[in-house]
Amino acid sequence: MKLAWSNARALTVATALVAVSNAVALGGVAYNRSGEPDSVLQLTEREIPIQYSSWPDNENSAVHLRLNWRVVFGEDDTFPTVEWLTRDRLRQLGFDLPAADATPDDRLRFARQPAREVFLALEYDGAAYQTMLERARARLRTAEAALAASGSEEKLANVRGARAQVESEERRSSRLFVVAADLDADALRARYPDRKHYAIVRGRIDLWIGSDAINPQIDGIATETIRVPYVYRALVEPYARERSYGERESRYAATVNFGRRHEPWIVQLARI
Amino acid sequence: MNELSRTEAQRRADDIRVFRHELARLQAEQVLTLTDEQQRAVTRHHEVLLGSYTAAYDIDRDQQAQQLSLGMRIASFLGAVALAASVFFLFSQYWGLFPTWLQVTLLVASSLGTLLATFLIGRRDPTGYFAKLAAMVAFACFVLNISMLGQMFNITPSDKAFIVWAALASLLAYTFDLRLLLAAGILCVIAFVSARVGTWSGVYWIYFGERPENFFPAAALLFGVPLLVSHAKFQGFAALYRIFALLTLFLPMLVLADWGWTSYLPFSSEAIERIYQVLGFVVSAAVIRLGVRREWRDTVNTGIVFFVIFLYTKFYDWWWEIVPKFVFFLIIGLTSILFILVMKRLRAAAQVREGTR
Repeated sequence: MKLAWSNARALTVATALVAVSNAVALGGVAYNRSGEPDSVLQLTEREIPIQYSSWPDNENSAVHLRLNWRVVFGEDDTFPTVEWLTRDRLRQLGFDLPAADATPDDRLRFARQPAREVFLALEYDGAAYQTMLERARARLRTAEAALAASGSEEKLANVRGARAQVESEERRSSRLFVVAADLDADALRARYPDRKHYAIVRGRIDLWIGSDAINPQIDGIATETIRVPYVYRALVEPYARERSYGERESRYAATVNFGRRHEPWIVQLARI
Repeated sequence: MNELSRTEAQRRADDIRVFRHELARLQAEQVLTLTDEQQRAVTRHHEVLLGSYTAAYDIDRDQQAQQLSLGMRIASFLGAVALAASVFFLFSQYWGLFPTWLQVTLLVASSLGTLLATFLIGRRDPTGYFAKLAAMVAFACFVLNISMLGQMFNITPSDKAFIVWAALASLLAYTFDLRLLLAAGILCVIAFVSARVGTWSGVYWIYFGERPENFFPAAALLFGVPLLVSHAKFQGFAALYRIFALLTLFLPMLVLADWGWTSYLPFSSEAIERIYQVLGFVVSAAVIRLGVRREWRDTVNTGIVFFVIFLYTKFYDWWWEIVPKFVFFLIIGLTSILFILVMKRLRAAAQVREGTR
């Protein structure tokens, strides 16, 4: 086979390639945003803080927010484990897991499986958040009881720490939790039909080895950053210039839609 | 202007230069004597040829011109990288200040505008240096175009972007005889094919590198391209395909030969490492043999490099800890001598074959 090439033909093909690529990308965006959104969450800065970029993107004049999700870990474990990601669930998600009598080398090999793509259910201000809030309060009660029994400096420091944690949970920490995973988005939606408190997003789960056991973890969400539309940029741009990291009380709230392709976008943003 | 025949014109000009040197030697050694008329006819013919090539294609007529051309190629490459970076930072710094419709328009216009400019420059630039520079900027603008649309509209990252980038890079590479863009296109193809293969087993596409075997289909595909499509008019293109194919084959094999747990194979890590160590030797030796037979110098050299790497890696595993260091390096040195002797025999055999043709 021989290549026949002419500049005129090459220019036509290249132009068509650029046009079609842009059309496909923008068509996908239009499809995602068409019809009723898959879910509509009312989030605050606690759940969508400003995303700061490092070089080479630190001169980016666009402002992005980050979906600040959390997971409820098992309370008693030395190593944090996601309790709802059971061995059966992991197998359903496609992971190979070692037998109970597997050698440490085998376990290591299984734990090194690359992350798998799944759908995740994001819960806003629901049972998961209440669990974490209640845990913080219970820790404070325990610390206060211990301090009342013997008033040492250490016990006092424990109470101060527990109180700060309760305050953080009540006023600053994110209330957005990953609560379930499935390979089928519809199955996940059927389990969590409340579209104002549960969003279905694409994400990844992977494994790590801790305390000689294989533990699953949420590796990330596919669309973790959300761009602030031009019309709302002026509202949050001063905060973006501050570059202050860490949790803080909310200064703005936004309505975030998740579309047919589970991709988010901001439809409304206002200062609180 | 047909850019493809510039390579052929340059090759002919190089042949003429070599011919003149050898003719001068033969005449000095009185092996061959041309009459004045013959001498004038040959010189006139060559001058006419070189003059027409220079006028049409701005070829390098002598070694000095060739060295200056190399300098221009390097400057062209650095200029393209700098201009592409400039475009990126220009967008980054100001585009947040524009409404969405204007951002989209600017992105698409930058892709189409630089593409059009590249072809216009290509028509007016017989040397091709400015056209090549413009082509690289056009490719950078297109990469920026697609990736920034993804950022703007929070689109789920997809490996499919690689295939359209590969298509444009290859198209510009073939049109403007640009090996750098062909390499960029090949890298995009490797990323796309390997990611696709990775997703077949449920792995999230961006982690395709964690299973080195994902790269093997891309290696086979790249090696097959110059076998199926003649690249005689594109200097160095076929070699580039083969080199990238072999890198895509041998680098993952090298990883698997040391870290067997990254494999798909359902065996123990040690067994997998042994399999790939043996395969590394066998395949690199086969590649050297194929390269010698087909007279692909690039293939022979790549095969040799990896054969030596596989060999020295094993030497290190076997002996680094247990023998004195002077013995270890002595073994390495003796192996190199043995290797030279083997290659010498291969070369002699090839020369005999050449002589009998």
